[in-house]
Amino acid sequence: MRYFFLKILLLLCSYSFSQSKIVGNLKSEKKQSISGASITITNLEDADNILNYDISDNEGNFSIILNNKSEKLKLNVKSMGYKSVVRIIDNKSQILDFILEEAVTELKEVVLKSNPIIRRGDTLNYSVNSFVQEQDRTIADVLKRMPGIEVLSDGKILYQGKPINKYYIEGLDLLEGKYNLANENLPHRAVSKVQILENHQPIRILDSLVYSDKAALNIKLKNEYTLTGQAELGSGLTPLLWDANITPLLFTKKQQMLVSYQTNNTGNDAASQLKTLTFEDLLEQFENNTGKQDWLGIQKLSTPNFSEKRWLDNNIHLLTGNYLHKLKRDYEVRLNVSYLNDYQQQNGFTNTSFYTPTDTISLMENKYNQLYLNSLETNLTIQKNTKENYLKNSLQFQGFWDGQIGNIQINGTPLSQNLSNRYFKFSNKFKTIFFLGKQLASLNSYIRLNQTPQTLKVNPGQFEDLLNNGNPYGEVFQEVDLRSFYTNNSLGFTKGWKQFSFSPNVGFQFENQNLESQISTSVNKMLLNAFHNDLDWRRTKLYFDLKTQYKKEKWRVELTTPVNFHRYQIEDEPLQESEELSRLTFEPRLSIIYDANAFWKFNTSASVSNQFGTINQLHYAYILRNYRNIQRINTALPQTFNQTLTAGISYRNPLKSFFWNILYTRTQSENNLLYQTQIMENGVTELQAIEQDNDRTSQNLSTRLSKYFSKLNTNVALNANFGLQDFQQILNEETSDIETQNFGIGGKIETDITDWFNTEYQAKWAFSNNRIQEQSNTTITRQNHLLNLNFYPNENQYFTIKTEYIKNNLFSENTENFFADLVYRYTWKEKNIDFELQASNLFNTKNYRTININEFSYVETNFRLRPRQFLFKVRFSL
Amino acid sequence: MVQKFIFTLIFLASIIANAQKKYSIQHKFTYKLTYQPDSTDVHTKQSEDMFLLTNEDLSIFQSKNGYIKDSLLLAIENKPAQEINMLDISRFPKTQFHFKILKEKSEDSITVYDKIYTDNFQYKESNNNIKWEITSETLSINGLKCQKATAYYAGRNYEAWFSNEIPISDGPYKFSGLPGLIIKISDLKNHYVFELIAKSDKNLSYSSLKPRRNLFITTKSIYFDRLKDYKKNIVERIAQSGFTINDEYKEEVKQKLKKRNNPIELKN
Repeated sequence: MRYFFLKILLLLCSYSFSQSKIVGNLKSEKKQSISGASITITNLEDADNILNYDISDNEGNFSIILNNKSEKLKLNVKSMGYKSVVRIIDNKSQILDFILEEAVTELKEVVLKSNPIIRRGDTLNYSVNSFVQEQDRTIADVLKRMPGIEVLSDGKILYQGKPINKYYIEGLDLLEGKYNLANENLPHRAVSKVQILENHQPIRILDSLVYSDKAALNIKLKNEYTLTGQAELGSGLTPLLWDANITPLLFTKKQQMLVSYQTNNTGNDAASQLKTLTFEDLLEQFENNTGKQDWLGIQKLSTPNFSEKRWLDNNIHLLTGNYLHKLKRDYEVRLNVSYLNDYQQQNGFTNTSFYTPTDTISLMENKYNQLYLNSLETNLTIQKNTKENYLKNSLQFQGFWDGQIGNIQINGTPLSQNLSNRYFKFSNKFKTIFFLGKQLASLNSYIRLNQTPQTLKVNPGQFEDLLNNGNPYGEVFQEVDLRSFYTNNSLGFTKGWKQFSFSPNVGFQFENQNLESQISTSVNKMLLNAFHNDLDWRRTKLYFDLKTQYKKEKWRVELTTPVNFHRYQIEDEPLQESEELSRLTFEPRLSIIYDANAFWKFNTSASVSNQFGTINQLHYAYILRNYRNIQRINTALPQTFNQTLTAGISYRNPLKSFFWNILYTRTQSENNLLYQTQIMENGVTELQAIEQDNDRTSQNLSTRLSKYFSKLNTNVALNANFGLQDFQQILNEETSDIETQNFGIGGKIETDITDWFNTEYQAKWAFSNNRIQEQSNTTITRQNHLLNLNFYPNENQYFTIKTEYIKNNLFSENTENFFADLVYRYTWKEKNIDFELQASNLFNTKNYRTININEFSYVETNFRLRPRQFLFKVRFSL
Repeated sequence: MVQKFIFTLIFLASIIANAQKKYSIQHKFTYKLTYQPDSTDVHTKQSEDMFLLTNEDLSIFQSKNGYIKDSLLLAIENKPAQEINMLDISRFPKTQFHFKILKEKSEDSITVYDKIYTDNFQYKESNNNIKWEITSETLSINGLKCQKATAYYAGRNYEAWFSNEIPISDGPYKFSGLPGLIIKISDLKNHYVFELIAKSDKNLSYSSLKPRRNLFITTKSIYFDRLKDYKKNIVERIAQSGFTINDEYKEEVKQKLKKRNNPIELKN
């Protein structure tokens, strides 16, 4: 009724303006309002030109105002699902209601232009010549200009806004993630065309299963051979510094090679940059324990916990080569070789306090250490990558011919240590993915052979009571030779059922080791059997692991239920010691994640696990680990039963730019062995163990919160953590409860002051202390403040000032250190040359003193730092 | 005991009803969007396909890759066994446009779902924001008779070509309200151009409109404020998810952001 009056009113109004107003209502035959219909008014002659229109509202109402002189008009009502209505009307204000008949609306066909984007699976070819401009030098310059391709400032290539997943040269992928090395150095003259392979799946067996919308890029070369590369040269003072990195690249149609030579004495640890570890690599290192093992050592200086560039006194040469060759039938062979030679020096002194239940023993050592590193690593990989299967086999050799010389002054008395810590490893890893029925299954096999021939010579002889009836003597000599064989093989797949998924994995491990060790003195070459190990160690493990996952809505529950059978056979025949152990263990882990709502998330997990000792935790005769530590574990095989519990809460509010989380972890370990340390008056220690059950508990709580303040362009973050450890140890015949505590708190503020200037400030406080038998020792405090100022005046310049202030409280005094470094970089775009100037340690701080807390000792270290230095570097293409 | 606990949990989880709404779609229109992320560099032009999915009561607008990704994720959720094969989420289709726009004929406002980093947002916007001026210019595009209309929206002046021959008052992005489907629309600088390139009448069901996780309901102005904050604070936000960015790369991230200076909505 109200609408009726409204319509009348509108009609009356519109008369007075010599306009016509057409109002009305649309209903279906079932008396339902029709919304979203279009009502258009056109002239009779020109029916394609709409004069005015309206779209019907929720109630089916429409209203159209017209300023037109024609006498007659055409009204058109169109709506999906209804028959169209066309009516000739008078050009005057009026009310027009319609009842629309239901009908299927056939949409008019759209005649399509051909889509310029190439369809799936196709290859797109760009001819390089048609995109080249005069100033271009490298292929990257030309790529930027090709439609759909984008090159970011960090060298990443995007196609249609998405990163490419492979950068091939003649179908070969030598550089993997580091493709910008080729892209930014390969002259465009060497390239005939660039191909884009759309929807490219790098592991081809997954092709049908996993959709990939990413593209790969393939470079087609003009010539049979192309040589290119990059070089970086730097020099500075003081002392005379150098830093060079030369990387030539060779490409042919069937084979490719990358060689890199790096050398510096600037404190830049080039060896660490070499290793681009993937998650898979780390996992393998953990499972198969593939790292280098050192049985013996010299007394080191603990290195400062800030950037190594301030303290590492090195002289490194690193040569690496990568070679890739394409074989027939989709096989590809790759060879990596790297050789490292480094000479490092450490200079400083340590002041150690050993806390025993009855006494405190102090030891002052002046140390000068020389480390000689010499190693070779080769890796030969064969890979087959087809639609039917995927297989990869890597054969690896590692050899370390390392040596260390340590000179110590103990209260004015000199002592020398001479270590040869060699290590050789030969291993093979095989992995294949194939179809097991309709399911994809994966088979893994790993074999390793390694040898650890190491020797330590200490002059003058130590442990006189034990080794030479209490008489001083000239020299003690420790030899260790461990040979081991290890293999691990497994088969796994995944099967799903409703909301569950099951991933069984079955396999076995076998390890056979032989340890031979011998202590001899300059007085007596043949000591008692107690100083001679001849240990045979055989370990077998069969495992069946079932991972069950359940996912629904806000819940995610994961249960792993591994069942393991362990068998140990350990025997030292000359010592007439042996042990056999067979154990079946069940080590379940349950984890639950609950997303309560968008703001709150909760997660918790509980697990139990068993740990058995390794060969360096069980040997029946003594081994001199370093000049003041001798060790013998002639008890049962160490066994530890761990129970771990974690719980976390996180709160995120992106509406307020506020984020918070907290995490608690508790681990309780039940051990069958209690370690027994005898600390002598001169600070030397003897480690043994007795069979006695004992517990170790460690707890950790950490939290972090951050908030962004829009008005100030500032982000503030705060974090805190608290850790507590409780355990028992026998110190000088007395069973002691030891408790170590550490507490840390920190904050960080980041502000963008302008577009080209930003600052970052960080502060940290750490407190740690330990208690032995309720007796609390000094609390050590460390304070850290960091202020960075970054300037980006324009795209090719970068300037930064980094300052750091560290305050440590030591036993009796406090030390303060202040560091400042400058970096300026300029990029000469046209020639593709980078210039960089670095000034480090501007205040020429010479020494750094800090304290570390160990289980029953505090160690104060004074480490000599690198002096103030200036370095100038240039980076260019070969 | 543990077993009982797990079964209780599973039981609890299964009674939480599936809240996702299913829409049955009658028409799928594919638009090609060509856009220029850096307003200062015409060589940065990129393109992406977009879907407009319609039925009699509503329409949903989303990027094609976003649509495919949602479908894949949905498939995983329903069949966890697929997960192993799809584990590598980095191989999933990527899109530069995460918005999903729901226009319902029975509502006065449109509903927009969009993302900032890993968080999903929902906001509503009046559908009368765009005031169209109809001109008398006509043109035939892809065999359809089209007429030109112009409008101002969110800092840009647009010209749209709509066709009464497809009587669906709708269009790409947030554009609608013309007496026929928008066949082509672009701003006057040609920074954002949507063109209809395909149409299919296959019936399909759409059930991944509302993000299931991390959905924050807010207003349009708060959403755009947070988006600005995020862009200024991107390094710290990435750090929160456990990645650290070294100082040299920070500089590059910033340079990269400077080149993404041309969003479709300049003012809100």
